[in-house]
Amino acid sequence: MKGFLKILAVAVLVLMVLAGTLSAQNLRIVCIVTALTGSVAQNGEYITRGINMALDEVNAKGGVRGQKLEVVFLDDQAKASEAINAVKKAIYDLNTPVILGSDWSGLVLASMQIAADEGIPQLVTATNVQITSQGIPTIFRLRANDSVAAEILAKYVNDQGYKKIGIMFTNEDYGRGFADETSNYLAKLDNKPAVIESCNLGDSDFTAQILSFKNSGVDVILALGKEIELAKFLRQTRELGVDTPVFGGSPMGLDYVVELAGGAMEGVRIVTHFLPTDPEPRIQDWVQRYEALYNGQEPTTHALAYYDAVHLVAKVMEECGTSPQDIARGLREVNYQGVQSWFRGSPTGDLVNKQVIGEFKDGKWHVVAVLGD
Amino acid sequence: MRPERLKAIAIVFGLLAAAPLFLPNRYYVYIFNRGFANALAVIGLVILFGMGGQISLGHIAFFTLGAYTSAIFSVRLGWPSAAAVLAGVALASIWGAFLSVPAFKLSGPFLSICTVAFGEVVRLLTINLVSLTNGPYGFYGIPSLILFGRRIGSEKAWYFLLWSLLVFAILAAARLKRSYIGRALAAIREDETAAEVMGINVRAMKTLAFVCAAFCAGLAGALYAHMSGFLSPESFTGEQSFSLFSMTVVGGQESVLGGVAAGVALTLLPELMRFLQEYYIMIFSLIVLLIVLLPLESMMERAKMWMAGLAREGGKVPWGRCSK
Repeated sequence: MKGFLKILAVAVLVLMVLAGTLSAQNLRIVCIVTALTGSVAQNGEYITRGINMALDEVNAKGGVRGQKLEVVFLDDQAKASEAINAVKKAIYDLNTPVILGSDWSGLVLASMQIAADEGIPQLVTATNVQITSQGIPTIFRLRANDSVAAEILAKYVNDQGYKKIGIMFTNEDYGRGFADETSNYLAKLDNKPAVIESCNLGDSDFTAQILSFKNSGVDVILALGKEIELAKFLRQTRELGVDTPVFGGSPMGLDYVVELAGGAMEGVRIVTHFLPTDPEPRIQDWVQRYEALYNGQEPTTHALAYYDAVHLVAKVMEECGTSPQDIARGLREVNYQGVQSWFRGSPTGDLVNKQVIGEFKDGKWHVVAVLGD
Repeated sequence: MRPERLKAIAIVFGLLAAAPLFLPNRYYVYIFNRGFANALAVIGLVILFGMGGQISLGHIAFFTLGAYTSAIFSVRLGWPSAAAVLAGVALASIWGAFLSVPAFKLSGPFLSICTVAFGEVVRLLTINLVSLTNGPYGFYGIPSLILFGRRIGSEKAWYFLLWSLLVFAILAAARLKRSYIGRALAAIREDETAAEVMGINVRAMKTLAFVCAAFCAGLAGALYAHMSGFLSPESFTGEQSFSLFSMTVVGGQESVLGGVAAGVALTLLPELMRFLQEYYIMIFSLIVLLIVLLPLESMMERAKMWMAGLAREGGKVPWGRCSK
């Protein structure tokens, strides 16, 4: 028994040393994934796919400065307290020079000050306006923020001639922020929303909100917020026989949201960051490569944003250096055309202004218009 | 308590006191801090549930009350952070006293539903009282704690503060357990009517237990607010209440030290298992399940006897001979 234990201990030690030396040759960065576990684990899957695809490409071309690039995935369980744990692990324990993620605004708002205090640049896909409006120099955003999306949405809805607008939002950082921004822009267009309703994360019965929209006779519903709740909301809206047109944000574009909503997605229009049916050749080429790699599964906005993020970071590290200061400096001055869009450095850290308007028709998302680049 | 056991405990606590000096980096110190904060809240649950038999499945509510009150007092009203922490603890304790009122009549599943509801009410208030709590955006910019003119900012400073508070709370709870209050609570847990007949003021004792529990959780919460600098409603869901409760159960319900050990261990464990990637939460939950399901105590007894047998006979002792 004792002999066996000894052998086991030695084996573990050897393995640890081996693992240590193997990973020491790689250039290691950290991605905080929202989330590897829990109710939005599907998003985590998309994120890791996008990153792994980009990593293979970067390393096939010789990596960064002669070293292989490696990404360590840390789960944040889509909870603020866990996101703080993950960021602290990334910085203090793994000594990462740059952090990718989180994907949810609340998680970024919770953790970005820690990264900022240590001077570690953080590239996020979360879209709440407050993330880049606080003057934090280490935060960079890979998608257009909600203010851009809200302005486009408000203008589009107003131009379509809707006069009695209802807003439905999930009461968390993203939904509330998006709803606030949108109603501000609508008010500026002299078309203040007539009814505003909300739900909490985890709710599954939306009858009260739907009846409120029905009874007040709104001619359009803007459903802004998180994936699962709004999919159920949409489904119940149609089940209750309310066929008011619905507009939404990027979460509606995800395949599992379409699936969860059943047939109710038909006719819904969204403002989002990317649709796999975008006719742009650059995007079509990427979509085909992605589908070939992942057994024909359609890519989502998460996969593409993080795919671009890895290429962006690799390019910046190659050109400017691999220390946190070098990366932050490089990102401030970056001018790079990714697959999703252009990434241009700005004083706030917002790198992207592109938005896509899509419509769900005959079981597929179609691009109606592309704004920005 | 046997002297050798006391010695062992003293050694463990001595090692813990020195831990920040040999932990590899600040991240590990930080997760210990999280563990200590949870352990502090668990001590309250040990008093309430373990000693007094009153179930609270909404315990994170007191943590939340302490955290948000302290944050609001220090940011919105500009109170010194130490005073704000006291205010948070006081408010949580007062609500603990209020929540003991339904416990006069309710017990078992009815009381647990009542506490779950309380937890949900507090959570929804933090989301919807936007002007006070900043709602779903989360409350940020909470200043560090300043204690006797010294700023508690670094992970290490927090470690020593939380560790000393924890030791103090353990001693207090252990003392409470062996006092007339602990015995009265045990009597209430076993048979309320009999306890009342014996002249125990059941209502006063229940209120006291709830206040103690709310005090510990409120203190943990208030300190957590200043430690993390950020609060968000999604960190204080029912799930967190259940995890505090499971820490108490894993620790052996009645045992203060067991509760503390479980509180720290169950906070550290998922962090240490991160290398398992998407499987770590599943495996963590499995471990908790196994700890609760397996008759650990009798297994330990068996192992002890087996070892004793080995030492005595210098040979193999079949498992069958270990039975008492």
